[in-house]
Amino acid sequence: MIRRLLPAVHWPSVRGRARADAGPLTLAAVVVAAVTVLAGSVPVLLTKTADQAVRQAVRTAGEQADVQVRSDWEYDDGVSGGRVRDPRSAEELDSLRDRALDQLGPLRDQLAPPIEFAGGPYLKILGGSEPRSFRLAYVAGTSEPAVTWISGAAPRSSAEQPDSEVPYTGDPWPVQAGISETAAARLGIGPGDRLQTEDVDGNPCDVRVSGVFRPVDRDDLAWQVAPWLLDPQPGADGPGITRFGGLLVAESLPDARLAFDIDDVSLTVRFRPDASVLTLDSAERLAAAVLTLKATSGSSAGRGGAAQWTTQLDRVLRDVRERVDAAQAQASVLLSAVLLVTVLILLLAAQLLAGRRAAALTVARQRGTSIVALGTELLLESVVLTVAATVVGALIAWAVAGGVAWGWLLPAGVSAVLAGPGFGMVTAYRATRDKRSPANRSARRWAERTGALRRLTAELAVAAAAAIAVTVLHQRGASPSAGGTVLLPASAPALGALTGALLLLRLLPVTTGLALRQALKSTRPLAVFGAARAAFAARRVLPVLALVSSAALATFALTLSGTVGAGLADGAWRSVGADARIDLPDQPAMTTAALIERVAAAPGVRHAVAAEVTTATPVVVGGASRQVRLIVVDSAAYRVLLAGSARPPLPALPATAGPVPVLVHSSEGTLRAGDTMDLKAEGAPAVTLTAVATTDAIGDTGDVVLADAATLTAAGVPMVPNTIWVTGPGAAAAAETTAGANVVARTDVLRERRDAPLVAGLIRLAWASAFTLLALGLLGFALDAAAGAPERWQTLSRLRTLGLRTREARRVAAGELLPLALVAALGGPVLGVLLAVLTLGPLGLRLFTGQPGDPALLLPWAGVVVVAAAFLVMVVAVVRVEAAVRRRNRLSEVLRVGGA
Amino acid sequence: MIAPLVTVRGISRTFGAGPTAVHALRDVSFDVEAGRMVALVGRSGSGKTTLLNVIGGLDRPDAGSVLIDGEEITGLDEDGLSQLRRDKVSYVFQTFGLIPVLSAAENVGAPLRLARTPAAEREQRVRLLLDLVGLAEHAEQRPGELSGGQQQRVAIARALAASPRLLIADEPTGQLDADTGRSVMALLRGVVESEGVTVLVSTHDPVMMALADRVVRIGDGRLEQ
Ligand SMILES: Nc1ncnc2c1ncn2[C@@H]1O[C@H](COP(=O)(O)OP(=O)(O)OP(=O)(O)O)[C@@H](O)[C@H]1O
Ligand SMILES: [Mg+2]
Repeated sequence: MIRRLLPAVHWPSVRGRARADAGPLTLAAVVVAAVTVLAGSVPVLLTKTADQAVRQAVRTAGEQADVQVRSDWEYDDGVSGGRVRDPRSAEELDSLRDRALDQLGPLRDQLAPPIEFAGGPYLKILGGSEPRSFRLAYVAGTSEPAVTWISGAAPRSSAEQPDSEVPYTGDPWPVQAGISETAAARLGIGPGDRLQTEDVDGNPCDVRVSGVFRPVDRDDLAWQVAPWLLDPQPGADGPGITRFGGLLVAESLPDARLAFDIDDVSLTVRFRPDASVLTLDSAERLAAAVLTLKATSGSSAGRGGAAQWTTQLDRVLRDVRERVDAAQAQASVLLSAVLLVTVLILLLAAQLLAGRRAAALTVARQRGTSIVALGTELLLESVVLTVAATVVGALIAWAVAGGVAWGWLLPAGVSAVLAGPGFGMVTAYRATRDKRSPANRSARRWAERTGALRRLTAELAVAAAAAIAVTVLHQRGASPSAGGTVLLPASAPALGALTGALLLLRLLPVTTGLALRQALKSTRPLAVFGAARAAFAARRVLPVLALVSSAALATFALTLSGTVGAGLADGAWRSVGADARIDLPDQPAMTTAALIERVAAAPGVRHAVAAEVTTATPVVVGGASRQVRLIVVDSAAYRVLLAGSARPPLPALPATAGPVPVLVHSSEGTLRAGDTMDLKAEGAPAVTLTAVATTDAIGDTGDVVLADAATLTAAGVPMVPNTIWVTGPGAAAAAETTAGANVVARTDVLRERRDAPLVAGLIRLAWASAFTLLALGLLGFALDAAAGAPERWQTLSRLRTLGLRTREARRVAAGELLPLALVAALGGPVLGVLLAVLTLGPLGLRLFTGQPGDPALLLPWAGVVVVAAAFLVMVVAVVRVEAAVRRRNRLSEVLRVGGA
Repeated sequence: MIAPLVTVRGISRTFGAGPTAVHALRDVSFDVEAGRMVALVGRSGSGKTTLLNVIGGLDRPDAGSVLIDGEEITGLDEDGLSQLRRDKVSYVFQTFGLIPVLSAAENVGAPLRLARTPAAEREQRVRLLLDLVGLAEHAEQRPGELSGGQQQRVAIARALAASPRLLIADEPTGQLDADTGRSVMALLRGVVESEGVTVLVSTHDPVMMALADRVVRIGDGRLEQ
């Protein structure tokens, strides 16, 4: 069948050629397979990582990511002018839940089982030295969470009759509630006790402790919506206020309703996105659906069951989406880079293979095989090889990633299929066509000129494509959600590298020509031979393009990962402010001074400085009020602290009369040196601040103002320290032993951010790309060296018959290989850094580093050195290997007729 | 009696071992007097190339010794052989053996560069030699841009550049047509006279044999007298 379709195919030739060139063919297949693994798995892994990032974001967001349905209780006015106790309150919650589930439809698979929640208003616990609040709450999943009553009993109804009517006036209606073991211990009360509480208006409330409970399963999802039912929660109702909870059950919930105004007890069902099944896609669908429900349900909850939907999930997802988009853009950029170099290497390999086969192909032509038939035979070979390699690669990718993305495989696959037949046919054609160049001089010149013009056109086309790609990248970014094709902007660095390589390709013959002219004049005997061979080799197009692109893009990838790494470090410092930060409680057990003294005395601590950091402090700048982060600190001590770190130094704050001098940092550039602003302090006249300088040493996102503590105190605003910054190798440990839980260590923040799925994935991909690119480049070098080896060693043998020593022959060989290695080793990294400068901006690295702005470009010196050295080491390696391989070939053999 | 420049004594060279061994040379001995042109003649596969390679130090014999200008060369190490090629022996090959990336002039100058001859002297000698082989016009052309005969003449000029004592030419006209071959032969004959160099040349060409001072016949690895 196939034989009839391809009548021209001469099978023995196909087999013979494949067997003769098994090595190079296998190499090409390995390249295709390796790149298939990378390009096939990365998009799949990225999708998975995006899903992971969504899950993590949803987990971190906690209740912010919840989908909530709220309703209002049915009016409960009774016939005699009081309120009627509704014993079916818990069932109302159930029906709200059921209706919500109906409305969600299939989306409920993305959500954890709903939790019903009914909570009372903020109550103040009277007495005690610290401010404490109290809230009553009813929670239930499919049922109320199981508890053991370790003393007393579950709350009961306070009414004799389940549906008795209660007058509006009169004593507060009693409510029975259970309290947790820890709360009971902290409050010092037990079953039967009445908890002394009042509402915000100062009205007393009648809360009775029915019993003390212990949760059967602390991890029951129901507790998640009100963790304070189990453990008192500091800060939940404002700074320094600890919230205690009272557990209601179905039987006491009606009493809680009667105890407060009808709208003071909430009626909600909460759905927590199920992080274990959520994907970015499904989460976005969920958020969109909830937003639609929210829009159609109106802004206010309906009385008697009409549900009002709310969620912040969309906001949580927007952040994730932005990061995923950026990650996708970066992955596309890196993959484009790898694919460009892969295509170049495959072309190079095909060209070299065609060269190796030139004699055989010529013979085949002379025997009468048509070019088309030869092409068909070669196509057959390349298709079989490419398909086999792609299948192997795809299988590995599938094993690694659990899926294969086919789109990115196309460029490598197509070039692997077409390059071999293409170069083979051209070789066969050239070998057998009429080789004479036109005798007519003007005709010859015309042919030369069209050739040059064609080349220039191609070069300009690549340069134009690169320019357009960079422009589009800057305007739109390279993320898929920006609309349009991703491929063009994402290939900006790749096209840029190609353009640069083309430029170097133009320069290289000029340079080697110059070197040759220099060598011809020099008295060093060897220079001329190496230089002559080099000048000859420098005219080959593909090796220069492949090697320069690979070195440039490997450097680019290393710069990307280095920049992200440095940005993460910087971002972590900015977030923490030092190696470790102690967040001081409102009522510290120790004075700040004593604490600083203890911390500073600990081993491994360099500096410890107290500061008052307040976010969202309103200041008036140019008549407009804006919120800034105000840092009040002993600026001299802080300057010393910063000086001992790798941070930029802190500018001096002159002690001037008049406006208080401050330093500013503004990620959007809204605050500048020279600005004056008014700081409103409580119970004091406004203080005028003047920005004397900007500084990069402080600041996260938004605007930051730093003032000296003493100066500001003198101006009437005393510092109330809430933060201690500690530096030194032992900072975190010292802070933790001294201040316990309220410590944020920089290394922890850094590790957490670096290990975040998208960031870790991106860094891994950048490294993998750099490695692949470098490996491909070195492979290209080896291929080119192998292709040039016969001629090189023929020349060297001939020189040896003239008296060139073995040792010298090696030097000449190195001299020939050096220009290509040098242009890759020097031109590549320079080009790569240039590309990074040009294209890293729009890639949104700041989304990963946690910095206010894009991270400063970090030149990965070690990486650059490795890339450059790799190519130079290759020269030595190739020369050594060749010398070893050819040692046995005696001159007598090489010079025989037909040999060498 | 003139002292021999080349003394070959009891040379044997066997390729391979066991039943497939090829005895390319068997106990070959002869002398070549300085300033002579000696033709080595024999059928294909008789051992001419092998013998020339051994004499020129490109190959080592299994037994026997070769003295060139009184120097035993079979014991020389690689560096010694390199030095020998720089100073005393040069070659002309059937395939010309020029360096394709260098111009004719640079090809001729190559041995002088290896010998670190000062540039001015080198250039002068290259010009002289190109004149001698009649290629002054073609000095800047690459080998690929020259005809076969021209290439071989460049090769002869190059072989003469470092003023060797012995020039070994293995079928130098093998790839040339009869007329061109003859002019190359005449050129070789001429340089023996003008440069005083000793030439050892293998050939099938009867004309060449006629030009030679002496003909040494070889058959199946043995000299035939
Ligand atoms: N490397 C080798 N291994 C095995 N046999 C060899 C080798 N080199 C030469 N021979 C054999 O040695 C013999 C002499 O070969 P040589 O090349 O010296 O002959 P020749 O006289 O130069 O022939 P021609 O006129 O064809 O050039 C031949 O039989 C040849 O096959
Ligand atoms: Mg021979």
